[in-house]
Amino acid sequence: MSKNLVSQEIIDEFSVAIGKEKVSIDKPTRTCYSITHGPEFLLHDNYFDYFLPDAVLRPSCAEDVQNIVRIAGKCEIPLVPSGGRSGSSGAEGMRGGIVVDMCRMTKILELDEKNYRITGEAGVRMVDLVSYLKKRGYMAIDWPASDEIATLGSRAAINGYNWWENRWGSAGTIIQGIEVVLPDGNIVQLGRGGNRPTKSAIGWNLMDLFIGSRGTLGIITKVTEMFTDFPSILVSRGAAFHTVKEGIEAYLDLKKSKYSNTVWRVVASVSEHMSFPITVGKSWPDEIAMMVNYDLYGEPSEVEGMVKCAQEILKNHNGFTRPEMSEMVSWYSSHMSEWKGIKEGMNIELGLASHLFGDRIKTEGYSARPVFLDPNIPDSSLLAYYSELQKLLATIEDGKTYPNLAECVKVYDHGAIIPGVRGFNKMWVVLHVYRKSMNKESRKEFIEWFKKHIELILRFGGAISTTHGWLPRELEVEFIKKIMGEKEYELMKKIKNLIDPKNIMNPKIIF
Amino acid sequence: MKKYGVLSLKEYEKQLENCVSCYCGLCNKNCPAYTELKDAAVSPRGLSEVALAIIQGKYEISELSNEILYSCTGCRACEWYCTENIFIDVKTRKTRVSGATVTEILRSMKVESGTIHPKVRDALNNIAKYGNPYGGLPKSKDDWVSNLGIKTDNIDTILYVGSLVPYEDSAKIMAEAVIEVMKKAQIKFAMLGSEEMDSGTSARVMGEEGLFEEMVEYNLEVFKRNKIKHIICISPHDYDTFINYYEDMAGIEIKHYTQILWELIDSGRIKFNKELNKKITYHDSCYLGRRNDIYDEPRKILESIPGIELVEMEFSRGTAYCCGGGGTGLWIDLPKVDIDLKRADQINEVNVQCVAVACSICSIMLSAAMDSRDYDIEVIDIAQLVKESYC
Repeated sequence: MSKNLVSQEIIDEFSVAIGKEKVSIDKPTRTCYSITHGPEFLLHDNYFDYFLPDAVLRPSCAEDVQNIVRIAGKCEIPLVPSGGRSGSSGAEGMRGGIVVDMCRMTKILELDEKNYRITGEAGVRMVDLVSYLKKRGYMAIDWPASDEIATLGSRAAINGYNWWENRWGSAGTIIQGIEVVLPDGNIVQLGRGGNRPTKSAIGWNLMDLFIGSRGTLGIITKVTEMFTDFPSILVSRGAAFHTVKEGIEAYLDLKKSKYSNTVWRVVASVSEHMSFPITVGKSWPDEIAMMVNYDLYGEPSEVEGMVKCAQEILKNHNGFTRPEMSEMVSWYSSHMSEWKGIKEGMNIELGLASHLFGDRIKTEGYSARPVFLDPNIPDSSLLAYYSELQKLLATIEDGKTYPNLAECVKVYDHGAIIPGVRGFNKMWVVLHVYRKSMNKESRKEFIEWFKKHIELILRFGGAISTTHGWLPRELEVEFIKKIMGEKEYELMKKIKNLIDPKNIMNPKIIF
Repeated sequence: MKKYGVLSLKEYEKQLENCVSCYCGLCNKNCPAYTELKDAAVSPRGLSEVALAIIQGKYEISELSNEILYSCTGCRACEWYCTENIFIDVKTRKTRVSGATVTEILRSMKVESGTIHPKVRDALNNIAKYGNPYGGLPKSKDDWVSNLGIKTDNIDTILYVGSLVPYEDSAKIMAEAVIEVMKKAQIKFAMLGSEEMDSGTSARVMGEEGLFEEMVEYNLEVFKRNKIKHIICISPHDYDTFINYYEDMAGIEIKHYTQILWELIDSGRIKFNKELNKKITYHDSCYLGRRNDIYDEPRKILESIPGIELVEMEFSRGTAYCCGGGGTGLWIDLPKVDIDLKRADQINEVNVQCVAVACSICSIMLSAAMDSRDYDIEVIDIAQLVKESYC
């Protein structure tokens, strides 16, 4: 099982082409690429061997990437492009394949202040991009929760979820240009604006073919994103609701397109049930079913006007605040909305998993693993879906429907709702998986439950997402066909075959 | 012999599992080793996966490269960002998820396997033979203490200068500044001269557990014999070792010199009489700040000195970037690891005349980095600034 499938001769060829120091074949280094932050490894008892790549290459320029791809194409060696590996989207290594880690391509290449465009190499970390812009008075608008480790290239490759999606859309909307090394080794420049059509019927929008393609069509080496001036003020507010119905209706009204210039983010959440007792040491009042928080960004006059409007909307849906809630509301606002950084954001969510389920908080023992589901649900069926979702989530824990699964999975977040693409929402469902208790039976039940989960989403006109969610690999082809349609999937395959006829680009996923 | 602070991979397995179970990678943010090398195997989360694989028998310690073993500076930035360490007060090394702790364990396994880096071996031999990693003669330490006119007995408070003094110039200058200030403030203290050996910190970070234990036994005996009740440390590394690794200091109070100086300033025993007129930033020593929560005293001292304008860097206090000298950084110069240069760049960004430090290793690393970058920024110890305004 441990014998490499990629021969030493091929490794030597890579070493000559890009430099020996950029090639690692030692097992300890390869080990680190057998796993990502994605949950796929939970379904494999022997993930270590299953996902262990034969080599890791770290190109430092696009020319290196071209050389890698040409050799891989010639020898028909699978390539797995890798960014920060903080996503859920299939950056695990593969046996007999090579990981191309873009971490050494970290240059910010151009800041076009007049046109609000910034261009960087694929390995630029988002936190460095954010900091670079902030020092110059600008704000990055493609801002993922994992900004500390997510990279520009992977933002394009997974069409990443963006913190300010209600205002600016996903990473794919913000990205204006990409450079891609195709499987034949050629480089293409694709995008909108500049010498590419901004609004035109001259040519196809080829860039969007690669946005979210998860490394299956080529390796993205350069990305151009939009940014904005730093808004003058931020106001974060919220209100509580006695019923989920009132909360969701208020949320939907707040995220209406006519307000979205100022309303950058809205969250309708029940997760505080779990998180507040730990973070502020107080229990969440039982009679509160939902909390809706919002962030307003902009210039003082427009934000002040929107504050009044937003408060009116919440009030119309019987939203309320009470003095004893102020600490909780302000905690939420400062930690989750103002977005000071990872210490107050993703860390908290992930950290809670360690403590709420598992033994870590009691015995400093094993912690649990958060698994994000994040289906996309349309506005029109949000409330109905939410209700059905709760029934489905209850089956995880009831101990009867999935007796083995109940031993190792708990529902942490029953559905915080955040805006996605206009008209759609991310249902931020989080499970806590106690990995140490996972076994063959519980994994099987997990897959069974997951199928029901997807079917429910499809029934309500939604879609599964691996942007911030997850689709187990063994279900991928079956459900991509269901989500996209058989004919559409066949079209994808034709395009894949045209661009990557030898199927060397991340072949373990989608196809 | 009692085992001080020894931790095996097996004992640490839960934390390795916890890290691998999450594998979010937020620990990478300010990890100096990963930032420099961009090699997942030196990243904190990568180290956890590597260590777990060793436990599972996937490969041997001998297969780990020098980069994997010796790149970590022990700065513990990984612990600061780690999601597994949020909310709960996991203070012990055994229960905190930490790439630095993994490295310590791997290094000790490497030493046990009998094959160690030649520079580490030389430093360890010097510690065993002379009590300091430089191989400096003990007599020169006695002569230095004697020339300063410091008593070596009959006082229950000692100034513990550490094994870099007087063998390394900037460490010696720093120690002399502390001594001069304390003398002027009429603090009664003694020094142990050559009786004072390495606290064990060097042996510890190099993975030589056996030698570390010998140093602990030796030092505790010296402290007991001299009836020591208070120890003032010059080096944050010694301070950290006494506090976090000795396990039982038999009631001896340990303080870093910045804590003592602030107490003297705060109580009015030190009154400054000269304006320094300098724009300064403070570089947090990882072993003082992140490892022991001493962030405020150095800043309060600087702010109390007339004419000093203190500005903060983007990465300061808990998020401060390491100077690169922690761990084995002072002894092993790994190719492509220029942690000190990155910190020098961060210091340069805030447009200051001076960067104040409270650690001689930081002073050594950053002085060299300023020269390499050709930045006109003076690296100066806090004690020297106090001395300049007070003495």
